[in-house]
Amino acid sequence: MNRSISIFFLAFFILFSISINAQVISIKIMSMNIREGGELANYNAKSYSDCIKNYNPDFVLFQEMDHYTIRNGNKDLLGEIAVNLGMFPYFGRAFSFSSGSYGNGILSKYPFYNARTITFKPTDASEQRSCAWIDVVLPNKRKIRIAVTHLDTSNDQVRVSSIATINNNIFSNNMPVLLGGDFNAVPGSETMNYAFLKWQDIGSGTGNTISSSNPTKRIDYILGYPKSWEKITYQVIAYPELSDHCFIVAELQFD
Amino acid sequence: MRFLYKIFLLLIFTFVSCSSDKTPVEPEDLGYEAPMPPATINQNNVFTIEFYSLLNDNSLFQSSDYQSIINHLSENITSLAYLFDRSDVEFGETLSVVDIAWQSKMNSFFIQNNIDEDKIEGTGMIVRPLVTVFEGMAVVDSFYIGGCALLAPLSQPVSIILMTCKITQNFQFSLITKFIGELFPTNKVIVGTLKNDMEEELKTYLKYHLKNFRLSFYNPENQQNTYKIFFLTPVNFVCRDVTKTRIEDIPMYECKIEYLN
Repeated sequence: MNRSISIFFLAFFILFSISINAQVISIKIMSMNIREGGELANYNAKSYSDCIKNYNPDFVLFQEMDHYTIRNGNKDLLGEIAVNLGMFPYFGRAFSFSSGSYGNGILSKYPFYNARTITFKPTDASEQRSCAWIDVVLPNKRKIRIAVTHLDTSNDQVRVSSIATINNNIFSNNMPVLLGGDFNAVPGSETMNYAFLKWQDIGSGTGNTISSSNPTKRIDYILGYPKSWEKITYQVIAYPELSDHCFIVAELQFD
Repeated sequence: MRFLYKIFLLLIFTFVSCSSDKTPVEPEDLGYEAPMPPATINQNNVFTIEFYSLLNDNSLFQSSDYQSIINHLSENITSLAYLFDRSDVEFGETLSVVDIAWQSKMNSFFIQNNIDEDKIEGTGMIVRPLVTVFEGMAVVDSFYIGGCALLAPLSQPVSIILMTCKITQNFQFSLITKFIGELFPTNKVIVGTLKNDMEEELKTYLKYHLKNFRLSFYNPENQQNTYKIFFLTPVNFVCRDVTKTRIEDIPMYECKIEYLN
């Protein structure tokens, strides 16, 4: 009798798990390098909030974000944008700067149950860099990891080493991952060839991202893991008054 | 033949008796009971957690009028962390805990309990330092727990991982112990809410499934409260006192926890 009950519950659990995983992940994500903490917009939260509102993303990935620096007027820009948009903020510090911190930021429509920042400074790197991520349960009960990074400008060897560090830390139990940001490397470079060994280039074939007034190079990406993400839309948008980089807005699905 | 049959029975009896003699007697599992904490409180090793809660199934904030809490947080900088039970949010609306944290120049996290198409129920956590790691567990539709490491400025700075969760069903007990680990080896201090009628069940479960811990409760005097606050800590921490007060209309419980070094 007990065995029958156990088998029944096991079968129920398996079917339940399958039904949960059968729900497609469908999200909209935005990546924004805001250049030197938002200098071009005079560190004004409303300017960035208004821009983001136009696209209504589930997640926003910021690079070059200041946190209570003298440069930005000693304020929490990410927190202020989060308040304006009704999103949850997570700041991933790369290093101390201007009496505050500098690094990456994530905004999420949904609360996150895990968050982590790793830092790395390979030999020859000009600055310490970071990769920050959050784990989220979506309303359809699927879990996803959302990550942001900004790689060093120095050389391919440094960036490859940084990606190796990220790869060694970021994957967890086959959880789908999206990693976006400024990789400071063009398609075909040693850096991106190495990145694409593990990651899917979701925006493959899309437009250049820098500069925002005259885009001639593609160095900002959204990468997916595993390599089975479906691109629904992928826009490269220019707001020269907000950044020297174009921003990326992508609608993506994952079975 | 009859004689042989008797011998056969005797042999079986002897075999069974001998075998049972060799069976080790399982010592009775008496469970774990924490030693009494010292009678004297070392005030230098006491830290405060502010726990805001209605201790029922209603949302904490009925409107965005929480300016008095922002003022309180800005003035009272001695508490280690601030927890806002049922600081629920609606998608697209300003998130109260994020707003309070931003206006108080602090950092916020949110430990969800339920999520549906347009609303999320859960507990907000506000802390002063910039947090690198927010650690949690999500068992979808069943149980969420989360928190972060904080450095308590005691006589010697002590790293504490402050966590919170809401317990409403007894199957969640095993998920807590799974998350903590049987021996409770770290400085994880869990302050959360528990359905009123589950205190004895939780006590009994933890007694036999966890070691090196202390468990205590704050029982609200108000009969309309459907939840109580629980404190689950390693044995080297003890909740010494809970004082109920109010910040405007919001009930706040000032929880004093001592680190026993």
